[in-house]
Amino acid sequence: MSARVKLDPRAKALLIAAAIAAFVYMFMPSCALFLADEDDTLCHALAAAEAGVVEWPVDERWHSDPLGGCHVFDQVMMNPWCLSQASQDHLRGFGIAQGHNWGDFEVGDAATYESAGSEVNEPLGRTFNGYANLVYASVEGIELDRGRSLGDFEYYDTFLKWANAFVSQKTYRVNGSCVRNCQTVGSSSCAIANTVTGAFRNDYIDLFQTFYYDIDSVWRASTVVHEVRHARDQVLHIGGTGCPRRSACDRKWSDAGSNTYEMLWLAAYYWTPEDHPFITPARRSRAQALFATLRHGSFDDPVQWELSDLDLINEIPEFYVYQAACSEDPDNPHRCLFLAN
Amino acid sequence: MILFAGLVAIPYSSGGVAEPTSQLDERPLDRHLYVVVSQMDRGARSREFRESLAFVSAHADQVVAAWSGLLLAQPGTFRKWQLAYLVGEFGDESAITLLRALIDEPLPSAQQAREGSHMIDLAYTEDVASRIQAVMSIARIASHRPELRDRIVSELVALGRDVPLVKSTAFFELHKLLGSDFQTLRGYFGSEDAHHFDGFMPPPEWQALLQRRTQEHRDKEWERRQEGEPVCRRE
Repeated sequence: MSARVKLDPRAKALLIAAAIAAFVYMFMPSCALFLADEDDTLCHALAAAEAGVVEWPVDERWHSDPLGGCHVFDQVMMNPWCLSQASQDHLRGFGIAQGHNWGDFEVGDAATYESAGSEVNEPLGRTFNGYANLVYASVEGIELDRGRSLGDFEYYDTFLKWANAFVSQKTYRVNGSCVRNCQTVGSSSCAIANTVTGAFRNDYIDLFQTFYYDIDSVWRASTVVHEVRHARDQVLHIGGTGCPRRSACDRKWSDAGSNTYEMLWLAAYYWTPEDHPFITPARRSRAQALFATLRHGSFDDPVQWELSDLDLINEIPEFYVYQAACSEDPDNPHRCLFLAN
Repeated sequence: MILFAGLVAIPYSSGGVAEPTSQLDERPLDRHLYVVVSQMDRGARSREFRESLAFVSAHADQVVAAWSGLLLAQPGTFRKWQLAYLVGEFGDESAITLLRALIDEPLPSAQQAREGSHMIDLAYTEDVASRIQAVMSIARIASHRPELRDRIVSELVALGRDVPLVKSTAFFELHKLLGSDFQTLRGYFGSEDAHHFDGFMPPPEWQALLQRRTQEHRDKEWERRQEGEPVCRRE
């Protein structure tokens, strides 16, 4: 007696859709293929100018699309990890080594760079460039011991050092993703990264295509700090009414959420010596602009803290971790103490 | 990018490809603008950048005129922020006017995102960042055009009083620019802005630690400067 299983039409449709998706996935191209053809970028046109004559790009994307821009903070010469395997191993130690999907991108070495503008252009390389801002913001660089107790402020005696260890210790896994996670195709409303966390699971962070190609490396670094605050600490966004970033907003500074942490890191990055060997004036300006942008657009309640108020953040980081982050909540001024555990 | 330079040397037609014209005089400006843009991160640490910046500074009015469309008419991008930054590096009086116009441009609304999606409007973010940068760049111009300092102070005071989006940045830049003279501006502002003039100081119980750390860090910085640059960098 033959048994025939009759499939419900909806189940059949689902199976067909799954089969198509699996087939498409097998041939999924690298993220790099989504990049604008370098011949069409303005950077390329400028660099390739012969005798001072610029061959104007045919593609108009350079005019309005961020992908056509010159990502000056991604230039190979300004990112020391490119020259050192030890540095690359150190950067992988931020959870990238445990991450999924990075192998899909390996159309070239992480340090592959576009010849005209000397920009590192692989997703992994651009991720390294983001993390490089966390690492080289401290002059110890990869020599910094990231494994000490987060309460050891005699060792982590600047916020930048502390934040480096914070990111390292509170990240489990960082995944690459080719997804361009935007509202609609062509929309500028996009997710840069997403963190999945929960009581009974290992947290992970997904980095989207926008992370590599739409935002600069300083913003990438502050985004990492932001996401890590969601991860092991499980502090989620709870704001969103009347705030430009909407569901990515926090209710107030004293929730000590991801936006507060991102701003603290940007302030610490800004308040570094003018002759810092890694943080150039352009990067410092970018951090200042991003700080002000977050202050304006990512909290429901106006933020009282200003960049000038945070000028000692690299002198007494414990004050800012223990008290400043919670300081606009008069009912509970010490609820950040657990962060140092 | 030389879309700016290109605009100097090559009239851009909004319909697409522009036809190059032979304007030999502008070609060196293209080349120097390319250096300024592409070496922006290294900045004054690069001799080539310094030389090109000097050349561009001497033609600041041409470049500002060429870039005005890009700064005022385009949606927010990293490039827009970048141009606003660079204008501050070489700009003249016309640059102050352009940057002020950028700040006064109506800010587009942030796009709505799906509830709970945690999406942010990247163009909107860059538009805000560009306006913030415009304030910083106006202040920056005073460092290489000291003759414009009074005009710049007036502009920053006006921004601090009239433009909520950039108020905090305007105060910050005024303080940087004027140092202790910043306090003389107190009378120009109301009581709601008094906190900008009263610097934050951690509570007394943190002062001893602050002093020790400051000294330790100063010593470490001194050692670093004696040793040279510890971070590997290829010129």
